[in-house]
Amino acid sequence: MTRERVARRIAWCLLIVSVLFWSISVTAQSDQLGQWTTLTTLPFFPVHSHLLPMGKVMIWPGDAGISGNDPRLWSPADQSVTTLAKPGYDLFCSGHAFLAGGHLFVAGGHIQNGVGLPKASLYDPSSNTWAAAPDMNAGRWYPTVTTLANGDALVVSGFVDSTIGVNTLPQVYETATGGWRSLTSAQLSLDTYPMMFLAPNGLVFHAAPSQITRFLDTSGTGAWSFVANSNFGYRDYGSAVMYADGKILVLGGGDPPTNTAEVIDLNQPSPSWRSVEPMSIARRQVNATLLPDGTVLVTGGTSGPGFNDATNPVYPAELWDPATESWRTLASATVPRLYHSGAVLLPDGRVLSTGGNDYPTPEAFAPPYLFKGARPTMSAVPSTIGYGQHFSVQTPDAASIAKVTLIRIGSVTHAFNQNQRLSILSFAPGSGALDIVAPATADVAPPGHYLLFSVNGNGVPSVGNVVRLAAGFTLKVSSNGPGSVTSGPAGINCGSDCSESYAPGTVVTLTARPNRNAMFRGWGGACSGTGTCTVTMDAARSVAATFRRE
Amino acid sequence: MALPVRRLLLRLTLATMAVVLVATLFIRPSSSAITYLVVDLAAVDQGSGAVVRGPNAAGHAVGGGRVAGKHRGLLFTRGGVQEIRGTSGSDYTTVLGINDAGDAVGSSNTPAAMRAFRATSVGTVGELPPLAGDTASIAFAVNKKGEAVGFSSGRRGEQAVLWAPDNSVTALPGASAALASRALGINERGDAVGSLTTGFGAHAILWRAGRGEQDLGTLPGHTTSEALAVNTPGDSVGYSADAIGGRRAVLWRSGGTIVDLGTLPGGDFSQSLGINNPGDVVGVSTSTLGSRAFLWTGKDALRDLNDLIAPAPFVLTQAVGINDAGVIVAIGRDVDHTKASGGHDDAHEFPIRIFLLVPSGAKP
Repeated sequence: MTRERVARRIAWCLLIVSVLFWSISVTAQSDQLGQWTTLTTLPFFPVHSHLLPMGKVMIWPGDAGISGNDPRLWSPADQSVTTLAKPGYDLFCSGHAFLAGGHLFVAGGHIQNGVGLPKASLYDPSSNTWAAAPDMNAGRWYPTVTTLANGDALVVSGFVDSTIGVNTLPQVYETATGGWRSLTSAQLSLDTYPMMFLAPNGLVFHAAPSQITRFLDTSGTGAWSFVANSNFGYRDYGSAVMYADGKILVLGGGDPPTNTAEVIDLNQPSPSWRSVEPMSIARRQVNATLLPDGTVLVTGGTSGPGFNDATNPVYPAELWDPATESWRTLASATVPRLYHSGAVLLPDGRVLSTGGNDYPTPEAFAPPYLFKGARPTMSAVPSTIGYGQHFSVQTPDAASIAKVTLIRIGSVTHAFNQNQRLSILSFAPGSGALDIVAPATADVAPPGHYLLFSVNGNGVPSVGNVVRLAAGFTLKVSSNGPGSVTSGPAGINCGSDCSESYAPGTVVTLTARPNRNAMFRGWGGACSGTGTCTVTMDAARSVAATFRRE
Repeated sequence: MALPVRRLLLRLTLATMAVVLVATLFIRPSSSAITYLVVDLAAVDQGSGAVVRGPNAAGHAVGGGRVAGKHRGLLFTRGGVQEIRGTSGSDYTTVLGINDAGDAVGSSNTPAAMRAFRATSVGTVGELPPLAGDTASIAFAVNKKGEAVGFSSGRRGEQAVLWAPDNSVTALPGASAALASRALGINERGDAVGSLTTGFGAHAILWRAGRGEQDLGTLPGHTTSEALAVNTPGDSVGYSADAIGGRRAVLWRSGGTIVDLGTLPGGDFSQSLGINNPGDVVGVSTSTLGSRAFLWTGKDALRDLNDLIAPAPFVLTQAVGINDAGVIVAIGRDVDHTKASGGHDDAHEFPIRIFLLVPSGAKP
């Protein structure tokens, strides 16, 4: 071996070792801080972003002379951007949330600055088509849409124009009739893009930005009731998330911006706001995103005073842990994310960070949990689940799963995600499977599409599977005589538990188990014979099982 | 008034006075075409939802915007910006009307409802109650006699109402039978205008004092309309809209005819916002340059008010009202922040600037 060859080999070895060290070092950092990746520049800076049930992101622009009548589809897999059907008007400055069937409901829009459109539309992602809803009572520029427990959509606020001011009339889009119900007993001046959440008591909670927080009863002609004053005050262009059933975190906002954060638990009989540890940096124009492990990621914003101080962008992300109610500073982005920026959780567990005026280049944030080892896997995940339903998913990692979360797909603009919310589901590990219980009621989790994650003991989540949470049909079983009936999927164990709600379309298999010295005589109701009973839940069903002593 | 609010308003006032001085010194007519002197009244955060209305005979404008952490009722004068306080404890107050006596009306939030109020020039504030059984009210305009108009809302829906000077409230004719109605303007005779919604949609309505309602109609082919202001002779202005929401500025003459005021060149949207007793109309129209404040005097087509002032580092985007002396309140923004406008303007993160346009020469 020549001296030259030896030198070359040593050089290669050194290079490989260096790369390995660098790689280990980056991974070591990333498992603490996460990692930002700059993505391919988009045709425009998105102002509105939505994770569609198919797992791709719908975006549309606005401002900078660009009309919002130009939705596009961004693919997380290959970053491709394709055009989508246009609604025929400017969607900029509208409000939006997903309906039970996966349609994106969009209310209001842009005529000119401060002048709102009275239009509303439904986008069907499965057919890439728009359908017009009847006009609202008046224009709405910066309204908020909230999906209700029965699948209807509440629309509040939004500017009519600079001489009338804000639209004070809350309206409910009723999916059954395709028309509007005006809450004429609940007229109120709300700030633009108010932060609203369906609460576990069935009322809609007005959490921010005003200091007075309220419940809105959307039944009949509506009614407001006072809940509590928040501690900080006016949090315009802060953000808010429902990080667990009925539990809300508000953070940042205000002018000058604040770093404060506070929480409220709407499950309490007299809810009140409680301050928690502040963020390390004050921010407004900030986005908050629910993560699969139940933490809250905060990205972007400005720490400077004024409406949108571009000279003081905040680059570091911060992570709020609801268990400790404390913050941790994570890796820094490279692009300022200010006014008109957005952030949305992707099924793979990353967060897509977009826009801000004149910033068309998106970034993806990989949270630390993506650098902490192998991810749990799930298979045979049902596409539809029903309220209170037991459902099972296959996983070879059942024994290591510590948490199962359900996160409603995101629909974000102007620092507030009008659709996301998180429920922590109870589950039981089985052999190669998890038996999971869906949210009990639609007040806790309104019907529609969610990402289902399983999270292991290291906090590493699976890839999220899109599931549709739907009002189910009830299967009632009566067991007559000495025996019992069980079901698959789980839920029926009759004698003791003879009724279960199943998602529409679920195929339930009932098995009769006679006691010792007894025999099964046969099925009645929706089944017959003495074999296995299989029921498709496309309606409420009743089944009777008859046993007799031998 | 809380100390921080006072400080902020004081700063706003001092800044405004300085700007007025600068504007007066430097914005001078440079040719015979320039007919307005511009007085910079204030700047309000755009993103907080600012409202501007007026002016009254004294050239005062009113509205609302976020100041010191609350959406407050505001009075804009050449001397500065003052807060007009509505119902105590409100987290959102907007002043929507001011008369020549300086009395103002608007709405404030209670913790659970919205209530109209009247604030007199001597500082007293009184609630303008909703109709019996209703939960909410809002007042949009007030005349010199102290009559105010707006709507009351509750289980029966929105109903246009008139408040007498003693604050007693009555529903305007036809309001109880309509799906919805609201009154947005009132003249010195007590005639009110607004809209009334039936199964056929919303139509502009004139309620002549002491008489029934009169449907002002729409432009041919249009489906809806709304009247926003009425002068003492009984001419009304507002918009007429087609089935897909396209709006045209219109004038309803007291004799019953409707006049399409058109748009500025290249525009596809216009809306009249104010009219004075001589019959001059102001409003907003889109154009090849974007949204622009317009003036219509009956002699010719709409005029872009930006063409009637000295070259300025701002653009006037809406004219919200005009008094009998021809003084106009207009909204604008800094021109530096404007980009080419294929879809819409690029400026709504920047402050709304509020101007008073004072006639400086012959009428155009």
